[in-house]
Amino acid sequence: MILEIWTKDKYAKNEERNLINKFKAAGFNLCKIHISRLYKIKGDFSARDFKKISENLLVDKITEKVSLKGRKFGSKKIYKAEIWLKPSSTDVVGESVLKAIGDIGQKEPESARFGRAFYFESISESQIRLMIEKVLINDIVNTYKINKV
Amino acid sequence: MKNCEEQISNFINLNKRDLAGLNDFFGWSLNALELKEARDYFKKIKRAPFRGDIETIAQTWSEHCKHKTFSGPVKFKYRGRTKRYKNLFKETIVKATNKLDKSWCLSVFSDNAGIVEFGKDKKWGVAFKAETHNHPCAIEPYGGAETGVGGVIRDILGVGLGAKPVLNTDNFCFGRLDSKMPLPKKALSAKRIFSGVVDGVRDYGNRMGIPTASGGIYFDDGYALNPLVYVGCAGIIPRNKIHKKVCSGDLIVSIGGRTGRDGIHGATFSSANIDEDTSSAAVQIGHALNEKKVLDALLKARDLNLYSAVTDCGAGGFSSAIGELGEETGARVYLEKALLKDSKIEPWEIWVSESQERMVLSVPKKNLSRLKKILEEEDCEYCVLGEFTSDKKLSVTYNDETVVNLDMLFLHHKLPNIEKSAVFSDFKVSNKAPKKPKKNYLSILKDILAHPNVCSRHSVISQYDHEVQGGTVIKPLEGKYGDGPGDAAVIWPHASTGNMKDFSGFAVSHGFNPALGKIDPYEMAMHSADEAVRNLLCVGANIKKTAFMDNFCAASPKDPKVMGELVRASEGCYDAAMGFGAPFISGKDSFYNQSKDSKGREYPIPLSLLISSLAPVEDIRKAITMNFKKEGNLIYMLGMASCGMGGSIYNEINKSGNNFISALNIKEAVKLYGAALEAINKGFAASAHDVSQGGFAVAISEMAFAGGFGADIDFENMAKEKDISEIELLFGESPSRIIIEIEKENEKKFLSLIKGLAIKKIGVVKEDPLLDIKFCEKRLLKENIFILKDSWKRELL
Repeated sequence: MILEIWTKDKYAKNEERNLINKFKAAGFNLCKIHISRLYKIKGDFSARDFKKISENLLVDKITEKVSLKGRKFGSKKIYKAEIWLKPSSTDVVGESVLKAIGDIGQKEPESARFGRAFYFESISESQIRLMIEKVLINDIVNTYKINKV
Repeated sequence: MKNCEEQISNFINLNKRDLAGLNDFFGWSLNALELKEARDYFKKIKRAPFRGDIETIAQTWSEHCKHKTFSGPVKFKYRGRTKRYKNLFKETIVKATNKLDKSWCLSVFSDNAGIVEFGKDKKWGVAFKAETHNHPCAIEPYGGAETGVGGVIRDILGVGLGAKPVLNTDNFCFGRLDSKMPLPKKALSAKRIFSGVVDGVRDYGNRMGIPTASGGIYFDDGYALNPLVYVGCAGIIPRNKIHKKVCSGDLIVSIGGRTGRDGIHGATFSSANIDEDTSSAAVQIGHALNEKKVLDALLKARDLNLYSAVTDCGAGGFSSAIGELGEETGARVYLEKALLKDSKIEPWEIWVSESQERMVLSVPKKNLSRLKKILEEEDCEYCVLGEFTSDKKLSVTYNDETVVNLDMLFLHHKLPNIEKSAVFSDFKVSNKAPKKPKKNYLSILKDILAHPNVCSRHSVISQYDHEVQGGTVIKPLEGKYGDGPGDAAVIWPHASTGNMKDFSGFAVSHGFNPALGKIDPYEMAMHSADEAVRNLLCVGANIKKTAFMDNFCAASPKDPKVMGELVRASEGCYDAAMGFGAPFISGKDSFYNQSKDSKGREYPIPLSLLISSLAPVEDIRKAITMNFKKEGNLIYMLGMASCGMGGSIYNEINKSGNNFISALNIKEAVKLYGAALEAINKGFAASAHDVSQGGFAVAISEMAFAGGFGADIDFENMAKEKDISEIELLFGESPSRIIIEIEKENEKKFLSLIKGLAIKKIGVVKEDPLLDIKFCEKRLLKENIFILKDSWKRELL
């Protein structure tokens, strides 16, 4: 199961602007981007358990939102790029989350991996691929996939 | 593959060509002579090697572990003469240390870091070490930088019986951010490497709770394909914990991270050039929190005397750590006892894996249960891997399968030496008067202030936590507005000594200028040492107890010209150490920093020598900063301005036609610095700043805008070489010069200290924020200091 967590729009501008500037420095112009954090947690957990994990560990309710079904953007045509560390790469956040879930009284999951998702508006998939490869990932340690949402 | 595996079983019968093929296939980075030595050893003991045997030999004999280039014999040809070095390192850098024989040096070149005496009561030592992590950072900048920092922190944890880290340092070299140079397909851009490396250093250092407070950044397209990442660490160690001794019968205990397939062949990777197919397995990602657990558990156990020796698992993993600890005794290792990240790992891979955050301890059996208790309290994983023996053999098994079975004597003392050729030809130098520039001096000053090797580093520095532990007295950004460029970090490690009544601290600084090395590597070494000493002096450190660290990065040592530059720079290090009376206490070298460019040609880095320096600050309350303090204070120039624009920033922008490097006169410098130190110690100086990159005009601008004061300067009285030009006075980078601000009421006392020395009054601090520089009656430039600051304060990231 993947828990997706993102900063509420009114608090997200700084983070988004920084990333847009990073793309700009690499020669890509971009008006809008949305950023989420992803936690892929494997284990025997109910929806209620996930709610507890979210509320007690991963989400700041004042500034963030969470979903188990992914983020929705109405009728807009948007591509979602998910970036993960390769299984062979040490996932420091994933390892910490795995342990922390046990520490808050839940069963320790089989595995926990951390990733990031980026939502691009009005850009072609091939352009997104180029942008991701140049700015966001290093194929030595990362994998990524792009989906239409 | 199968064929190659079979070939290992036939290793003792292989010819030179087959050995070389096998070496390439498995990535051992052994040369022909080393392969022959290994083959002959197995022939003598009448058996085929195990894969683990050769992997262990490859790790132990790697450039990273044995520094075989620097420690090997060299035949050096220069100016028609041939000189032979049996061991270049020992006959230059170590020789100076041995000759100087300073009683305050507690451990030099024999452990993971150098240690010098510290504190009023002399109960402590400061350990200092710098490492490079260049190859990994070229491929995965974030992970490479993180693990570089993690590694050098473990060097400090693994020196003696363990020191407590109190300061991290970082020095980087990248390609120019505005470079138009085409890159090969797989190469990352300089900007990408820069930002990844800074993120990595920040995340690891900040999470470990160690201040990152000293360093530098240098841009040159020579580093476009091979960035340099020097990371350093200083720690405090009780004097009675400096010596370690492994005893036969002690248990081999690994603490910290688990072992995985990450980082296989990192050590042998350092003995090879980077190419497009470089394996990702050589790169790892760090886990600072695991290392913090190791730090906390280790220091607790140290203070309870629970182990007799410790070292870090760095390059070569268990194979190097256990191999080195057990060199005098022997070791028996049961690899099935290792804690693993995953089960898909071969036994030899467990043995050589460079998974991070691991330390190996030698633990007397009676102490194991107490050690376990501490480790469990700190949530630090551990495993007992075996024990140190007395048979002087390295025996490693996985269940009943033999992985390694080697004689320690062969492993550590039979590395064949190959004499390397070195040649050096003097560079053609011109010392004619610099050409008249097209722009006026003010425009040139603004260009130089904005130059990437001069401009503000605030966008990097502000990402690092330099305040944690509460002992950073002089910070990397100083002055009235907290954004002036500090010369050296001053640390008061009261949180480690627990003594708030002892105001002893220490200062750390660096000298680095590869632009000089392109013209004269000998002078580069001399000037870098001089710059490092001046930086220490500018904060009031006792430079009479300066300790140096050399950190060389070079291209392939197979090129005699590269070796020639290395020899000249090493000779410079020797002369600088002897001249300043400052021993080298530790060092590091990194070779093969070259790659193929977009057209497939070899693209080497320029010879790069970072000289890091450390000196005690006897009373941190008397340390001074570089910004002007008070209107009416007098500005004195210490040292003589000499002709020569070689290696200067000015030359990079304006091409003066003069590439002469003014030679360092150490004898004169030592006298000047002694007087300056006395003036600072007696409280006569309000500020001091060295003249280095960008020359006088940059140094005085920085002092002015960092303090929010203007200055009236006249070169008329300045000690200067005859016929020196205005350009050289403003922008020349001749050595041994410091600008010092003297309080008016102390001028007489100051003058009595400096009789007969090249120290002259050149101006006065003004309330009006204008920098006005004249030469006799002629105005050279005049500008508002805040406008100058605007040119300087660029956002690099």
